[in-house]
Amino acid sequence: MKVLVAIKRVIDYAVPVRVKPDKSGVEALIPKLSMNPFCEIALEEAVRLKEKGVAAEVVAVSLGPQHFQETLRTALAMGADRAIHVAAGSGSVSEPPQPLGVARVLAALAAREGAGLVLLGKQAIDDDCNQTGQMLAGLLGWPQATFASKLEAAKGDLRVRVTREVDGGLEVLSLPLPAVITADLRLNTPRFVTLPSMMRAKKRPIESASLEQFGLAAADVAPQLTTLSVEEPPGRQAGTRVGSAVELVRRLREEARVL
Amino acid sequence: MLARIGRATCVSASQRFLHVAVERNAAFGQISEKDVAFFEQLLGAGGVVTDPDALEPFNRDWQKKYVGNTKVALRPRTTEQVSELLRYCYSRRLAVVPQGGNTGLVGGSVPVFDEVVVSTAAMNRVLEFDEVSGTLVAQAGAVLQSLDEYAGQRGFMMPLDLGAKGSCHIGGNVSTNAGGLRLVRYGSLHGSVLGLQVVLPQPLAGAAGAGSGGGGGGGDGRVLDLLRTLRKDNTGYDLKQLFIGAEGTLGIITAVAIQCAPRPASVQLALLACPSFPAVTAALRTARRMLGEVLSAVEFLDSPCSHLATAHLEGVRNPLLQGGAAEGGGGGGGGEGVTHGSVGSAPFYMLVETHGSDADHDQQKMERFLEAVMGDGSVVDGTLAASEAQAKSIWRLREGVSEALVRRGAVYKYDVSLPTSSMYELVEALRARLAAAGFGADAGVLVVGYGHIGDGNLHLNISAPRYDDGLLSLIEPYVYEYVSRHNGSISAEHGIGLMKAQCLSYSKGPVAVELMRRIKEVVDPYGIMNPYKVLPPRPA
Repeated sequence: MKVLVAIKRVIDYAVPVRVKPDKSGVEALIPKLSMNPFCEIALEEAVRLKEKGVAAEVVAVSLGPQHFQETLRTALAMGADRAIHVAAGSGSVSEPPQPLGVARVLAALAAREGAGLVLLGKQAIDDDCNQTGQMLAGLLGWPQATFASKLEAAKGDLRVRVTREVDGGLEVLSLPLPAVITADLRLNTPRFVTLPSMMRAKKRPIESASLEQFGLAAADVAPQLTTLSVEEPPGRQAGTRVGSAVELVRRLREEARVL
Repeated sequence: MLARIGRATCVSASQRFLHVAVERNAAFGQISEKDVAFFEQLLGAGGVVTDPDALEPFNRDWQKKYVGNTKVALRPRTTEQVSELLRYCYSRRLAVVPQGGNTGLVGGSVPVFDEVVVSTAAMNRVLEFDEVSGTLVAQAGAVLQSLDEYAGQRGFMMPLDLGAKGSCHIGGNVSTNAGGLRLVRYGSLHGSVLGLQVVLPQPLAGAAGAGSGGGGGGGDGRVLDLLRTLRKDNTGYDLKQLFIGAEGTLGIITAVAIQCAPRPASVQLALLACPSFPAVTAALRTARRMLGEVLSAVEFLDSPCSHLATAHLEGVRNPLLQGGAAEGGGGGGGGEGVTHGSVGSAPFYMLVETHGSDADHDQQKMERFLEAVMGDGSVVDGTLAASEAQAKSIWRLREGVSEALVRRGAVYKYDVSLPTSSMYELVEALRARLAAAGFGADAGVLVVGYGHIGDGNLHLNISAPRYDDGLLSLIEPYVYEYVSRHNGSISAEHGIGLMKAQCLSYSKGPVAVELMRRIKEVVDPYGIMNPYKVLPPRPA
C-alpha cells in the first residue's frame, strides 16, 4: 500500500510571534521555519507503518514556495521514500497555501499515485484551519478519520481502526481503505533524525511537479480567503477581591455576565 | 562556641555536609527586637521576614547542603534602602549575607550562623535599554531568564546562559562571575558587564564629616556609582572588576549595566556520540576549525550522566539511545521520540551549537562539520535538532544532569579547570581510587564528569546514597591536590563560597591571597560582608 503524507512548512512553534503593526498578520521574532508539528506526527506514523510492513512506500508531498523543499529533505531523512514538491505561492511565509487549494492538489496526486492512505496533520499551526483533510476526503469521496490518537492497521488488511479524540472522550472508527486520516498530538512522538540519514537524504532527489501535470491551474490553488485584520486578544485584567457572597453573585451577573 | 557547618537546625538531618569547623565571630552583634523594629520602619512589614518557616528558604541552599540560622531576612526595593540598612548593620556590627536567587553551589549565598540575609528579590526592575547599542541596565534582583526574554522582545539576548536561569538574579551572577553555557562565544562577565552600582559597608566619600551617621542622605558616601553603559572608559582603576566575582564579600551590587548580544537569527544544535575522550577533543578541535566564528556552545557529558538525567527527570530522553525495535512489530511504546536503528549507549556525548545571522550559511557549515567528524570517526552517531522543540529536548539532557544528581542522593560537586586533552583522567583516577576503597558502583557510588569542554571546565561529581565522611576524606584533598599539580583551578566558575574557603591556596599564591585580604580590610574593616567565606583567615 502506498501512503501519501502532506507536509507544510511553518514558523517554528516555539518562536515568539507578535501582531504586525499594520495588523495584516503575525510576524516571527526569529525567522525559524520548521515542519508543522502535526505533519511531523503524520509522517512519523507513515514511516512506522512502513517499518511494520503495512505500507510499501511513503511519499511526502508539499505544496508551496521553493523553500518548502528544506522540509521535504527532513521528511526524506525521517524515512519517506520519495518527496514531491509542487510549486505554488509567492514565496512569502505570510501567504501560505490555503486548504482548498492543497486539497485539490492532494486529490489529484492521490489518484495519480494510487495511494491507499493519505495521512495529514490535523491542522497547521499558522492558520489553525483544520480543513484540508476533511476537504480532501470530500473531493476524493473517501472515508475520513480526523484527530487520530491511535491507528491500528495490519499488513494486507482492507480496513483500519482509528481512535479519535473528541470533546467527550475517545471514539473508535473502522474505515475501509483507501481513506484519509488526520493526526492529533498524541498519535506518536516523532523521531529525531540521525546524522547518517541526514547525509543520505541530502543526496536524494526531490521530485518537482507542476499544477499543469495534475490538470490544475493557478486559479485552483489561489487563496479563497483574505485576512482582513489580526489583533491581539485583550490583555488579562487583574483580579479583584469581593467583600461578600452577595457582591460576588451581583458581579457575576452584571459584570461577568455568566449568571 | 564551635559550630560544625551544617549541624541540622531544621528537619532533615540526613543530608548534612560536614566540612570544616568554623567559629562564630564574637565581635558581631546579635539581632534584637530594636533591630527588627528599625528594619520594619525602613522597609515596611512586607520587607522584613522573621517567621522561622518563612525563613527556611533563605537559610538553606538549593542542594540542601548548607543550612544557616538567620533570624531575619530583608527585602529592600531601592538602592537607598540598601544603603540605609548597610549603614545600620555596619554601626551595629551585624554580619550580612547578600542573597540573589540562592542557586549557588558552594554555600556562599546562605548564612553560616545568624548573619542577616539581604535579598535582592524585590529589586527586579529593568531600568534602561538602548535598542541601538544593546546595553541593558537592571536592578540586581532581576531574574536572568526574564532579562533574556525582555532583551529577546527587542532582538537581543543576554550574554550568558546557565541552567539556573529561571531563578538566578543578575546581581548574583555578577557577584559570582557566573560562566555558563555560552562563555565560549560571548565571553565572561568581566568583559560583558559595562557598569555596576554597589553599596559598600562603610562610606568612603561625601556626607560631611565621617561618622555623622545615617539620617537621610548619609548613604551617598557608600554608594559606589560605576553604572555606565560605555564600551570604553579608561579613567583610573577599573574598580567594577573587583566586585565581579567577589561573592558579596566587598559590598552589595544593586544595579548592573550589561552588554547584550544580537539575538541570532539562526541557531543550530547537534547532539553527537563519541567513542572515547580523545574523540571528544578531536571533535572539539574540528568544531573550532570548521565552525569557528559561529560556534556558540560546546558541552560534553559522559554516559553515566546521560543515564542519570533520563532516569531521574520527567520527560528527559537521549535521542541517540536505541529505543524499541527498529523493525517488525516494534511500533509505539519504547520507540517514542528516539532515533531508530542507532548505536547503543556511547561513552561520551557532545552538544555543539552555533549562533549566526544566516540560516543557510550556518546549516552548510554545520553539515560540513558533521560530515568531517563522522568521516574521521571522532563521532559515531548524532542528530541535528530539526525544530526548537527538539533543541530544547537536547539541552534538557545536558542541563538536567545537575538536578538529576541531587535527586539521586548525596552529591559531592567539584568544578575545576584543567588542560582539556587530559581532563577526563581525573574522573577515571578518582573512580578507581574510590572503587579500590570500597566506594565503587556496588556501593552505589557514581563518579561522573560533564561540563564546558570548550572552556576547559570539568564538572566532577560523586553521587552516593548518603553523605559519608570516609568517602569525603578520599575525595578531598585528593581532587584539589590533583588540580594544583596540573596548575588548574579548584573553582572554574562556581566560586569559593564556604565550601572552598580553606582551599584558596591550591590555586592562588600567598602574595595574591594577602593582597585580597588587604583590599577586604580597606573596604570592609569590620568584616561584616558575607563572613567566613572566600578568603581564608590569616594563619596565626
